Amino acid sequence: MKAKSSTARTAPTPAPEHGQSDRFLRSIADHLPGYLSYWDRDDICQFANQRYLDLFGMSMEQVRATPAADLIGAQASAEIAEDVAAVLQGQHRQRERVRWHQGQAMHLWVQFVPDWHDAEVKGYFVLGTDITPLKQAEHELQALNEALILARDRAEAGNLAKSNFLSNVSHEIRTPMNAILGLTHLMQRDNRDPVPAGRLGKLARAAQHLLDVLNDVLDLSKIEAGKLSLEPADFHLNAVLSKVCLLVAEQAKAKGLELVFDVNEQLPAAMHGDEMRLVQALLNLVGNAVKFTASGSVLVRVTPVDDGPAGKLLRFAVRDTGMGVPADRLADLFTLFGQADAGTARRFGGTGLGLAITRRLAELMGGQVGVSSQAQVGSEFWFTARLQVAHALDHGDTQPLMPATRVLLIDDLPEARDANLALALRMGMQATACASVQDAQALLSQAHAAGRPIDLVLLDFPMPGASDLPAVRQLCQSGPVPWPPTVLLTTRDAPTLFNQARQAGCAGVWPKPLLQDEWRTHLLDWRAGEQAQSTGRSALQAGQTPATERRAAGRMRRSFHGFKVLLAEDNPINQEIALELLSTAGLLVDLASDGAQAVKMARLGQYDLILMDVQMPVLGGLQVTREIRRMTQHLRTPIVAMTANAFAADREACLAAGMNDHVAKPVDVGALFSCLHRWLPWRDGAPSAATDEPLAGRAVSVHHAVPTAKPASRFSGIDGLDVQLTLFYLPGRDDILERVLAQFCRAYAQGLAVLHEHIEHGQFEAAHRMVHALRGACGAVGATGLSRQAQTLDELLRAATSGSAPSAALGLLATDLDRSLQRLTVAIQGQLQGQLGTAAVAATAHPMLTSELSVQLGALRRMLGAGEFRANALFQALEPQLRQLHGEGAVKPMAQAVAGFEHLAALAMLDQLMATGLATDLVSPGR
Amino acid sequence: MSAKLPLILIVDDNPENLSVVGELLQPLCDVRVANSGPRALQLARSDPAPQLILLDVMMPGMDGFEVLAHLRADPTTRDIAVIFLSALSSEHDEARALAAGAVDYLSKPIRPAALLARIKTQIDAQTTRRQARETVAELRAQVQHLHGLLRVHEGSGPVSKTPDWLARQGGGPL
Repeated sequence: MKAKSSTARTAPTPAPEHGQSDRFLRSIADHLPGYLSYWDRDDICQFANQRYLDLFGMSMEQVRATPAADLIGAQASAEIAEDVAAVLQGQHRQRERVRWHQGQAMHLWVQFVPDWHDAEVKGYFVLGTDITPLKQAEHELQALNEALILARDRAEAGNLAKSNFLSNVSHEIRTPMNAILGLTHLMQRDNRDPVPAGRLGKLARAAQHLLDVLNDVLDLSKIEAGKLSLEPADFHLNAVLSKVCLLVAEQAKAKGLELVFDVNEQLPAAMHGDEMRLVQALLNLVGNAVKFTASGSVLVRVTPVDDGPAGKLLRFAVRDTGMGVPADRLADLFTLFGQADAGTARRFGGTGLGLAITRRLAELMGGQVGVSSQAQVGSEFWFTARLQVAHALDHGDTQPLMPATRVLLIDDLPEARDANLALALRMGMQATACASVQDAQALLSQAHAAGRPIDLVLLDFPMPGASDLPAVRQLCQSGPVPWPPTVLLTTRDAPTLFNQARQAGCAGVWPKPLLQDEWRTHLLDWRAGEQAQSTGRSALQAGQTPATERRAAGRMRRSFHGFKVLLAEDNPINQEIALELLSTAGLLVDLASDGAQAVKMARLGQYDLILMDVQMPVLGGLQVTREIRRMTQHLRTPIVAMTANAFAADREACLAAGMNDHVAKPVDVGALFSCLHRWLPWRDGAPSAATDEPLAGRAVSVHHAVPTAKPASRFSGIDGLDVQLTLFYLPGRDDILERVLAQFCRAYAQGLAVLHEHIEHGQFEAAHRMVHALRGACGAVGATGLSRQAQTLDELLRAATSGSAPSAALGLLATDLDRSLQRLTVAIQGQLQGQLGTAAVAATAHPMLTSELSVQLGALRRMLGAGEFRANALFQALEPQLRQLHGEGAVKPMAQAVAGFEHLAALAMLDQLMATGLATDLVSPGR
Repeated sequence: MSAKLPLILIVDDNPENLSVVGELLQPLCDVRVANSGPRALQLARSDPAPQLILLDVMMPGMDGFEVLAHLRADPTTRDIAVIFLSALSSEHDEARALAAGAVDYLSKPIRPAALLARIKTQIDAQTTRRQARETVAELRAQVQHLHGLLRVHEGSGPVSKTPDWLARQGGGPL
């Protein structure tokens, strides 16, 4: 265009303004709400409407005489040069441009339209439209947007601040919570008295609840921030229900609510998903249902909804018989703090976050939530979650469970009946169910007539027709056919009910709710009980005739007769006890008194079961087990660990080494026999042998109840010996007890002189073995006090580093233990010789010799320097002596430093203390 | 009882936490305690060195991350396994701790069973590694011995170099 404007110009052609039509066209052009002009190829404006002319304040002629660059300005013509070139090529062009007019910005939308004539572009039209108002609106919108972005950023910063705040609060709460929960755990571990233990349990629960609330709040803020991610893994669906059940069962029982768990049988046992979050989502619903239901039942039902490529959609529904939720509040329930009214929160507690969390968790798991409710009738809360089916997980319940057992379920609550029936069937039992005792009578008669009598009746209690125990007793004695052993299913407090139920002729009481695992345990116990009712203990039951006793004992022997057991045990007293117990039960026992012997005997023999002491010298039980498992004939032989170590880790170590089960020491006879029943093959004849017994005989069960009758023993007067406990192990057999006690006295008549030697020489491992053996022996003879005393020393020795200097505490404890032990053996021996032993003189205070103290302070110095945790315990043991020697004022700051684990400061103070000269005769700092 | 108890160093500025964790571990481990980062470094460098350090994250002065950085920078302490114990329970911190070289991360309040299990895992892993190292060293010695015998038999000058596969077996950390 510039090039063109510089070429020689021809005279402008006159405007084609002729006559009427021209005036009409101009009139149209002038009335257009835009700026219209026509330019020829020489960049001369040949036509412009009035608005365009007004822009320049020129007439048509003046415009026509002015070159484009002069008219619109050099800058503008450069801006549109490209468009002009293009339109002269025949293209349509358009652009937006700003024009300054009378100091105001004018936004123009400019269109360039070529003027074709005989296949030639003669010129072009330019139409400019004023879009200034549009532009202004756009600007305002943009400004608004920016303001919004700013507001959003501020909100996000606020959210971040909230997150940080929550994180900090979390830290500040968790730190003391750690101390509270941890110390509670330690106190529970070290305290066995029931009253403080009960309080500690409550303390632990309350602290745990507080932590739960905190976690709820944090979880929610995490979900809100989109930071929560699922951690999928394989899990058992039953485990989810068990966990939920465990957490609410107590509360439900306290309110007398019936909890029913019903898992659709078509669902696979193992799924793949985030088990923890699933438990959390379900627990919120079940917990609420229990909380808000005053009476009735809570039903948890899991059903499949559909199968999709991403997995199965499962529906978890929780139905209660609670107060219901008003229809107008339903919608708010799943929102934050959406409890039905503020009063609810006050009455029932809770954070009000549970449902909101469940909703979000369900959504995370590809599901939804919902609720339907009817006031005063109840509500159903549900959520769905999409889970995959796990294949890798083995079921863990493949062991067939009493397949031949015929069970009759009587329950008037349809949901509970159906759920339990389904479970019984799934566990391979032949189960039937009915809703009333009348129907039950009919079914029992039918089964009897068909020659397939029912083995076990599970009776919901209380229910119509069996509303109290006398009614149950009457029921069991009525009817045309003998009533089979009957177990009461109840939400009531089982332990108190148990004895009464037994007197009423019931075979047992199973607390509800019953999940698969509970079913298994109870059934196994019942089965064991059916047999073990004939153990020695049943002889103690009041009202039993010698004839029943003999018959019972005979049956016991019959059931175990011929089974061969290998017993690996190094402690002579424990050997004696176990041999006596096992052979009384009719078992053939081979004894191995150390690990190497056990391996040798296992290699040579066939055994139905191996009982393995874990702590044996030279070759321990774990190693022996590994060796035995390498022998082909013992790949599947049950190996049962016997250990005094109660740590779960120890138990796991046993299982990891290839053992199958675990019995804690001191061995409880009931637990031992339950274990034998679990692992020795079930003999078909045995259970049916029970059915031709009279009802009263069969109804006696050996649930772990201490017999009420306590027969006198000539050893009951011995201080420090819990004879009743011993008798509980070996009922009515003073002769056995006498042998055991004599053995005990022989073993420990000389006291623990060797123990002192071991400790003094830093041979803590040998010392530990001695004390550990003593503990086992104490447990066996019922010396519970002495056993507790030995435990402390046991633990200290176990922790002591061999070769290091013995601590004062060790020496003191060993001395005390020795003294108590000697008192006890003297007393027992007195009784064995027909004389009452005289109680030894009470222990006098045992002031530490200063030379001993100096050794201890040397050890303390070393421990403080090395940051040893034991330094604190040693300091506490020495503190009274130090106070005596150096005074309260000197020792107190040191005590504070030690308690605060300022070990270096404490060390400096100790050195200073000794440098003052008061203690120079005791120990030198350079030592 | 037959094996030596593992030496574990607990680092926390809060005495209660030291008490709780110390009491918990005491029967099973040889427990050392440090109530600050610098003290932790001092104890970590002393002999015998800890097998495992339980390290609190938030401490005044030198925090857990800084302690870990110092441990990693020092050849004598570089290989000590560190488990972070923190009252911060965010995944971000966990990721950061693990990235910094911690072998594990547990949030407070600690659950005793979980803590014991994690510690056991670490100690077991160390034992296994050590045994593997010893086995390899033994094998290597045997092979070198055989090598020596070969050389004697051939009697034709020294064997020029260790075979590749042997160099691979013995060379470098496992």
